[in-house]
Order: sequence, then C-alpha cells, then structure tokens
Amino acid sequence: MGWLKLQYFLLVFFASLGILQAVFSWRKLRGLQFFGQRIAAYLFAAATVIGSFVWFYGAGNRNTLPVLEGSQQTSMFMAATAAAVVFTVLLSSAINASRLPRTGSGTKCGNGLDDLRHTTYLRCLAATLAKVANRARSRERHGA
Amino acid sequence: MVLSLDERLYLWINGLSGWGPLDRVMAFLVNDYFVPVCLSLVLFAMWFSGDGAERRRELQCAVLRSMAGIGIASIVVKVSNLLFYRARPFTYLEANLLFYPPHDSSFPSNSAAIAFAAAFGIWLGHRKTGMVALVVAAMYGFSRVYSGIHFPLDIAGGVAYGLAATLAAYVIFKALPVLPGAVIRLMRTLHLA
Repeated sequence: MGWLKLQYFLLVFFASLGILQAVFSWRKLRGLQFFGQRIAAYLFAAATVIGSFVWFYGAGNRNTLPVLEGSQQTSMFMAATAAAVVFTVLLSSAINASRLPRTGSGTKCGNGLDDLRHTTYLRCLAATLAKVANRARSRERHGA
Repeated sequence: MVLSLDERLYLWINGLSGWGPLDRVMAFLVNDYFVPVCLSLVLFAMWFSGDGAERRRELQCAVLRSMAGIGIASIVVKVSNLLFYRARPFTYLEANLLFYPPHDSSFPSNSAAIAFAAAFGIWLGHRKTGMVALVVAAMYGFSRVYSGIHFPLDIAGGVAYGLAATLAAYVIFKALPVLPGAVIRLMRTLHLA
C-alpha cells in the first residue's frame, strides 16, 4: 500500500510540474518559468503529464485491490501539488536569478502572481517579508 | 425474476462488454484514479490561469467552491450509505466484471458524485472547460455501468448529489464571501494567487 501511495504521489507531482510550466508560460509569468521559449514549456508539459500517466498505468493493474481510498487520494494529491509548487518556485528562482534583472531600488512586490512577470518568486517573497518586518517595527516605534 | 427498468438497462449496457478494444478503453476510464486525477489537475491549473488579477480571482473562487462541493458530496454520500443500502448488481445479476467487486452501497455512486461535483464546479468557473469536464464525468459514469459495478440509477443519483453539492457550495460562498476571500488574500500575500 505504501508503494501505491508513493506511485500516486509521483504521478501527481510530475503531472503538476508540467501543468504549472504550461500555465506559467501561457500567462507569461517569467519568474516561475523553467524555459525561455513557450514551445519548450509545452513540450515539457506534454512529456511530464503523458509520461507520468504511462508510467503509473504501466507499473501495475489499477483495477484490482488494493486501491487508495478517497481520503487517501485527497491528502496525497494535496501533498504532491504542494511539493510541485515548492519545487517550481525554488528551481525557477535559481534559473531566473541572472535571467531577470533586479529593479532599481530593490524589488517592489504587492500584486500577487502578477509580480512574477518581471521578477523571481524568492525575490518577491523577500520583498514582502521585508515590508511586513518594516510595518511591525514602525508599529512598535509608534506604540512605544 | 421480474426485472426493473434500471436492472434491464444495466444488463443491456453491461452486455455491450466483451469486445476487446472497447473493454480496454472502459477499463482505463473506470479505474479510481484517471478521471479524478484529471479533473483535479484541471482545478489546479485553473487556480493559476486567468488573464489579469480580476479574472484570476473569479477562477480561484470557482476552484475553492468546487473543492467545497466535492467535500459536501463526499459527506452526503457517506451519510446516505449509512441510511440506505443497495446491493451491487453483480451480487444477484449475471455480470461481466471489468473491475474489482466493491461491496459498499451501490446507490448513489460515490465516484459519479465526486466527478460531477468537480465538473459542475469547473463549469461554473469556465464554461468551455466545464463542458469538457462534464463529458468526461459522463463517460466515467457510463464506464461504471459498462464495467458491471453500478446500476444506471446509481449514476443518476451520483449526478444529482454532485449537482446539489455544487449548488450548496455556491450558496454558502455567496452568503459568506469572507471565506474564499481570506484564503485568496493569504495566497496572494505568498504570491501564489
């Protein structure tokens, strides 16, 4: 059963990676893309989605017991997609660190996903955390 | 034995099985993973799609509503199974089984309820994608009868439960917009919405 859970996790993880790259390329969220070219992103998406399903169904007969219950599928699906998102933001930030220029006086972020058209995820997250920390310090100063 | 219309329709549909290529297609569709994973991946893609912040927010609300609908459908089916039990068709009718024989209540079809809750939720967010999702969910429901594990009425029940769950989620989210709003605001702060 543990092996089936892992296989399901890997199916969803790799399929999600492909889906994310296709969507980010389509919506021009350059900070989250692995590839500069749209065609490369779509080919990657096709390869990962089709490849993961072919592997999963080739690895065993999925119409016999044991099977994953609905609640198990839900939790494994959420874990796998979350892992795919984390992997994507880390790898894309590394790939795009030199590809995407920093803006003039630090990175300005505050528009959710739209910020990632022109900067990397980690730069944006750092800018957001700095903003939150500044706000907390300023509240402390005014409170004191 | 006098058979009901439901039982006769089941025997007719299950009787279509036996032709190799179609059996292989139905055996692929009927399994517990392919259609649920595909519909869930569509919802996952929808979260990040949307041209512009406003359209993206609409789609994200549709995704959250769909997830709520799936949860409601699951709970309602579980409660229904505690109150009412219908034996699976292969327990007393001649059946050609293409799937492992489950023994929980046949009515309603949990798989159909979940698939249609997801598909109706997708349709509310994006009509064209939703139409495709509904066709896939319908094929999934058909494959469950073709493969011998459900009566047609079980699938119809699943469709009704899925639709009702989607409508319930729609009403709840309309009455409490703060719920999806809070989730989207948090994800936006993390630059994931």
